[in-house]
Amino acid sequence: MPVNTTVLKHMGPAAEKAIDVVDLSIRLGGTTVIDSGGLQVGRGEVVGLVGPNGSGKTTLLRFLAGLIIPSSGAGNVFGADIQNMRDWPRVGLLLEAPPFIDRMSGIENLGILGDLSGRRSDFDYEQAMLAVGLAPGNRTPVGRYSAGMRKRLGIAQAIMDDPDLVLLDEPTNGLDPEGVVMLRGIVRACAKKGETVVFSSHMLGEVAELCDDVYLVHGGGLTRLASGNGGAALEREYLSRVGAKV
Amino acid sequence: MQSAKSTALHSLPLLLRIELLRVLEAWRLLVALGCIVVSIAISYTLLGSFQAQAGGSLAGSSALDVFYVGLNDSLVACILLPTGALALCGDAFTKEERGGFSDVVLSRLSNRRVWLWGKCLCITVTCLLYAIATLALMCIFDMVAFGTTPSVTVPQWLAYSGNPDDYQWNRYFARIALVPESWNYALLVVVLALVEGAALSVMTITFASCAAAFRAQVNPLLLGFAILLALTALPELFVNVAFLLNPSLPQSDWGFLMDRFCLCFYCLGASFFQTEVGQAAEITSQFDGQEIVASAATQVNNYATLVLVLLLLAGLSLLALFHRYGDAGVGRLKARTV
Repeated sequence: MPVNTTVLKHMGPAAEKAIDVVDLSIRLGGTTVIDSGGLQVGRGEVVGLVGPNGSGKTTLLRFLAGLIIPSSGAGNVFGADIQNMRDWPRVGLLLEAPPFIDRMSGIENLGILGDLSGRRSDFDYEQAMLAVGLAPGNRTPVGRYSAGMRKRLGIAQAIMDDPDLVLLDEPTNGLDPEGVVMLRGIVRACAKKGETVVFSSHMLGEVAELCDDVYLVHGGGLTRLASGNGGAALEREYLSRVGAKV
Repeated sequence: MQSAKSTALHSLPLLLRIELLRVLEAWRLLVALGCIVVSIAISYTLLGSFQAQAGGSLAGSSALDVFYVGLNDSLVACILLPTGALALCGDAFTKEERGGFSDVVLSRLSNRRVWLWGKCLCITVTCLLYAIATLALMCIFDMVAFGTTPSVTVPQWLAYSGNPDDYQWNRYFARIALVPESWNYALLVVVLALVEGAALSVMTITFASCAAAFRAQVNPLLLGFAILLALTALPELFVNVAFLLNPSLPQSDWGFLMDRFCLCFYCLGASFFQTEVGQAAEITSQFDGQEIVASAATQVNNYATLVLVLLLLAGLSLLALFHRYGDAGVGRLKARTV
């Protein structure tokens, strides 16, 4: 099947590239996770990563967070060479199951993690918690949070520093409908501020609605999918590319 | 923009705080406390047996004796205390990889080497505190159980002249390192606690880094306990098998690694490289109605080999950490500036 021409909402030829990577290959522990492909993302864009379970979406996000040096490939992320990782951009990272220090409260966790970056104040932590619908004054230890509350706190942690690059791994998992709407608002607000957002998801309708661009991670490849024709079109193309019989 | 150095200095105390908060889990503290309690029981039993052999009393006993005797017992010094330290922070590297907390922390650090140094610093601080807590608890127990007080004077039952040439194992308390009578006993015990803490931290960092490097699939704490047990017991097993095969061979039941961490194999007052002591001392015994006089010269571990073992373990830790975190697949050791 011929590759659809991608409809880009914002990125014109002159758009500044936040991420420009070609011939990317990532090996982990002797296993090749990604062996071909590239990623081009403009500043302030929202990009979705889709693909079957275990295809390498999280690995790609960890690479973008500067936690993995690729085995080969060329390019840069916010101007930082991907092979030496110096001057890596400020990253806000949400993991699928956000880890925290369980005996501390939400705001205390944000405080201790924010202090590592050395930029935030208590006011910022409170604002971040309010943005995700959590009460800053709630002193309940995070260990007693529900999965949805942990996810919300994880989102707050990822956005509180106004990072250059926001990386969200399955951000809608565990969120209630209200939380999903909140997440949409947060992603759009980040993009409006000029922050680049990359997130992985299995919710193709959500991806189609939010993203300027969509990449498929499948069988070691990283390729661009059409994203401007709505969720149904994206779903058809996705199923066709992964060879699924429905 | 902050310089990389100032950012690193800023991050280190925060990392230390995060690590220490994660050490303070109930089950870790319970295991560590359990190891101290069993150590106290073993030391107390040993002291009791010494007392019985010496005719009912140990001259000049001090409240520091239980701790001192503990450091001389291989079960306490080579297995129980290291197991307590392992329980506290033996999975310092591996526990975070499972949950991904290290990814979140690393993504926030401008200099990622600080993360590794923060871990090592936390293990060191934890082990030092653990050794000091062991000393304090044993001292309190000694005061309560025996009604003794800490003293700066070396107890008579532990004292020798201070000349290594005169050194001779006490016939009642074999395998207890005697102390030069002119030394400050309280200061010695505090220094020994700090040295024990440092040795525990090197052992724990070695184990924690190797568990991360080899991506241990079994519970790292159980694996560590098994390794400690094997390293302590195997040398004795080898000696016993060798004796069975050829009893005429010169025998030694000393180990080759863990014995370096047990005080009884050293002579306090010997020089840094000295391995033979007691040349001037004589042992007199009766055989077939005749008096036999033999030299009391004996072999001891020298301090140089202890330093060498610690340096080797530290080198092994560095290799393991660079293998795990500095390879092409994981760029965590790459310095970043934001």
